[in-house]
Amino acid sequence: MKIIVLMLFSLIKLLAFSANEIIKGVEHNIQSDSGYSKITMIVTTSRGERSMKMESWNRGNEKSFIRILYPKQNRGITFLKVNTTMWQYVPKIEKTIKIPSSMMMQSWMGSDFTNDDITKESSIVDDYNAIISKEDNILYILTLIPKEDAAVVWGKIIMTIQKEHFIPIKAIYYDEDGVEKRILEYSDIKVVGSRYFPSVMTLLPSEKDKNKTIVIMDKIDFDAEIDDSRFTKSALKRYSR
Amino acid sequence: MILKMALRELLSHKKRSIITLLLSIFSTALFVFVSAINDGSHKQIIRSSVEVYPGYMEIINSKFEDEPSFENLIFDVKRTKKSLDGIKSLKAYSVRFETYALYATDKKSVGAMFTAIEPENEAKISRLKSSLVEGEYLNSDDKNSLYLGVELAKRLNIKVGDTLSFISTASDYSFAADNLTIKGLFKTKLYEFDNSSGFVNKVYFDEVMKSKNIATHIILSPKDVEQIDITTLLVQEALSSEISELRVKNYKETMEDLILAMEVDEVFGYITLGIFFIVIFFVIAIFAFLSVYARIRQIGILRAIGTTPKQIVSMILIEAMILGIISVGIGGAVSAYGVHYYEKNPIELTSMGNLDMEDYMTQYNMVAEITFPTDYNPNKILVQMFIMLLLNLITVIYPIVMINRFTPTEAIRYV
Amino acid sequence: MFKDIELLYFKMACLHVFRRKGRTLLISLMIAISLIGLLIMEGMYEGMMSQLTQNSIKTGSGTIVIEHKKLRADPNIKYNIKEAQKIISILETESLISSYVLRISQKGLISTAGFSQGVSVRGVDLKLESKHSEFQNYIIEGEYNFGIRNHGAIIGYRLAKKLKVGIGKKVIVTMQDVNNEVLSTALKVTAVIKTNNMAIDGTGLLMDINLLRSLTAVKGTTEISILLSNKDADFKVKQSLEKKILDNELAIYTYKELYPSLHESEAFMKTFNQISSAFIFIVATLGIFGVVLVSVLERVREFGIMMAIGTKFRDIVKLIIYESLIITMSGYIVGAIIGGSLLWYFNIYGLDLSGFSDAFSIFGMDSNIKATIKQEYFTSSFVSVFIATLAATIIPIRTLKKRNPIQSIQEKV
Repeated sequence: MKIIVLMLFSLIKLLAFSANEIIKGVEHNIQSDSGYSKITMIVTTSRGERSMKMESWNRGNEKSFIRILYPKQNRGITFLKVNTTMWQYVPKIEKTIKIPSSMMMQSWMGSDFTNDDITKESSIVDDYNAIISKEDNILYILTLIPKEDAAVVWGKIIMTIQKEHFIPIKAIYYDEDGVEKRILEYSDIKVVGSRYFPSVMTLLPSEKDKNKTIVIMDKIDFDAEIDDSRFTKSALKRYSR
Repeated sequence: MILKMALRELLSHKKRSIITLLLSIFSTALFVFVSAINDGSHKQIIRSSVEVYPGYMEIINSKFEDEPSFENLIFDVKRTKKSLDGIKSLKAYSVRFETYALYATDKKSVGAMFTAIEPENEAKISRLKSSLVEGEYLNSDDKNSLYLGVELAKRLNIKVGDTLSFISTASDYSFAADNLTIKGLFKTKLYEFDNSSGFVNKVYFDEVMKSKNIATHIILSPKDVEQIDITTLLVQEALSSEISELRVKNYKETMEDLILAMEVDEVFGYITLGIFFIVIFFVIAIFAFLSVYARIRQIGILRAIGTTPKQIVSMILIEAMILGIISVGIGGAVSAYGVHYYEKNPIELTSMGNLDMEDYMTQYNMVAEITFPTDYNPNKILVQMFIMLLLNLITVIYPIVMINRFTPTEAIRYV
Repeated sequence: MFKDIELLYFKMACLHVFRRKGRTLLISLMIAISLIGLLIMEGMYEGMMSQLTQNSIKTGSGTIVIEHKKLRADPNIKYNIKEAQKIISILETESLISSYVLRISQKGLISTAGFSQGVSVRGVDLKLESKHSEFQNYIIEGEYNFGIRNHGAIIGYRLAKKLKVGIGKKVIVTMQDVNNEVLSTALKVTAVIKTNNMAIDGTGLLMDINLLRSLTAVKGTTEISILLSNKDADFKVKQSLEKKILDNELAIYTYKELYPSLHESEAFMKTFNQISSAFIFIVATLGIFGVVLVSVLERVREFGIMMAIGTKFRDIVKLIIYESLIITMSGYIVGAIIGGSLLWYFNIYGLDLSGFSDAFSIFGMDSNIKATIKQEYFTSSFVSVFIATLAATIIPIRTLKKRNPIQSIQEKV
């Protein structure tokens, strides 16, 4: 009897995942090499609630193209991100503008995300060292500490991940002094192929309690066929209308 | 009797008395005049620095200082304006919304301040309008017109009549962008300011930036700058009773550093003056000493015939008093007149030797000032005259002490 | 050297001076105190101005700076000096250059999780800077290095305050590279610096030049800052360099061209000091005059007797002059010693006005003021006192002559 228990034990040990593997599992759920999605973003501030609709194409983490569909006055605004550089085309003023470094910390389209957030949707594995700080039957709690040279403003991130399918539940961001700065909540899990992905993401800034940004993936295709020409500067104006 | 003797003494040694008189007149006049120029120019510098843009008093949301975000704005401008109506000591006020935008031409984009102003009111409380160098200033009907700093225009390589676009976040956090035509350029000579500011009409701004009845600052101008602290209190009271989250600050708080710098400069001015005075009063003291000294025998005889030491002292003191009062009176009157005149007609100094005043001041980010008015303050002048009089009296202390050391017989026999 | 008779006059002069202690004291004191005041005023004011200039030059562009000629008008990092080595070998040949450093400057954005603002980034080599700008002397917190891995940053104290960061905290710097692409890097604050140069203290960040070079892909450098052993040779050296460096892509600026008012302020202060001294000595002459006149006139009979027994008028004059000089020179010596020692003290330790350091930093000055000591303070005041004394004796001697001393023996008192 004891031997069987011992064998089961070691089997479980063998099946244990490292922190990096867990993260890779999460990333498989939420990222794609060639994706298309339709998104609704609802921004709540002390001044009220606004909603925006947009479509997004991406080629891995390095390239993405976003087109705003709604509200009408912003319809046609397009964004192109290639690595760390972002351009924006605004039909109202008929100009393509490269976002300079001085605007990187400005909010993206009025949401609680900054331009920097959008350009740096980088792989967490690249920028952070992860360890499993707590574990029970259902959840992993990972603590992510930025690597020495990682150009991220956070001091640490604490991620709660559902064990079974590596579904992200919550991520809490702290600054260098350990003060909680924002919380990212994932919900409404949808299954697409081998992916269990949270179709709703809620960003709650800790210091502005009335503010909230909700991102809802209305439609998502993880293996879309996307022409390379979409990720060029000329595409900004071409695909605007 | 003593008075007569004192007078006779002074008159019989005219040269000595005149030299002392002249020295004392000169130093009194110098003291009053230099101090007035010091005060005047410091006030001028502070005034100019305040008036060019920052303003004498500002109303902001009390949380705005620590967190200048759209959460902490003045959300009911109308109501705030109403609560100011009752305050008679205010001359004018104007509303501003200051924020940050990306200005973009076809070739370049630069991030800088993007501010809404009420053109007519703004002209009453700052020098923005008078800093116009090219094109035209804004008016309340303007739409899509930008009033830009010259240095920023240079950076963007743009001139009056050209268009550029701005991209910003509206006050409800929505996306804002539009095209603007350069209506005019301003030059305050404060490089940093001219390099990073653009202004539009608030009526237009409110449309694009969704900021109707909302502002970041309300700038106030008092009728009497000297009474500003009282006016500040009155405004604060009026605000607190209506809208509790607003706060009013005056320039003494917002421009603390500059005021402190002026005070330091004042101290250095007085130190320099002090050194001059040391020499002058030593010389006066020497003359006083010599005059008493020459009369040792005379005084000895006086003592011998019964004059008390006290009376001798009074005589010497009265001599000093007479010279003092006359010289301080003349010096004070002449310089007071000069100060009064130069207050209205300030001295213009475009350069001191090789030093170009404008360059010198803009280097320290102070508004370039080439006129130096004096500050006419009769009370201060009277105090200064009194101090000079006192100094005149102090100069005779040593002679008095010395003379009383002699017994009458010693004095009579003095060689 | 002195004949016996000269010595006799000298002794007589001394005797007379001692007999009239009161007036001697007054004059000596006057000269001593005004000399002390003057010395300190001159030393401190000149010290302040020169500190200001030196500071701006050292921590800023240097006595001379070499840049790409288009950089001033458009501060874009693509306008850099590509062949720095060639220029360095030319600099080595210039004897008046005491040190030079290469720097890469770029504007960017500095952010923490809670705050971001514009920043002026300077890529520097700390070892070379320690002999050039001596940044290590301005560190108020932390250590003068960029950390073990060279990812450190030294930031201006005002910037540190605004960002609310201290030693060891991380900051993210975002800027554009040569190709205008946006890049970010994480740096750890290793030190906080106070240079009284507003550009550095308020918006400045120093980082390792090689790290910055690799991040921005700048092959050369944006500026070569040069310090001369004599800052007045700036124009000469600039011309010499222009002849040697035949590169019309580059521009060479002296500090007088970049900051004209710095130099002019110094010159102005000098003139101001000279005028003040002149004024003080003119007034002092008046005082000396009064005393000499009285002391001469009260001894008309005494001089008369001397002349009657054969003393020439010339020698009486000598006597009077000796007396006056003894009085004034003793004042000078006391004043010079005390004033000189104070100046020397302030030259080494400085006058600490740290209560007003905020006000001083507006003027770009350090609140610890070091005085300059120049030999010319002492020599020029010596000459002034000497001349003032002689000038003061002119009228009394003339008056004496008019009084006809020999005749006056007969006169009744």
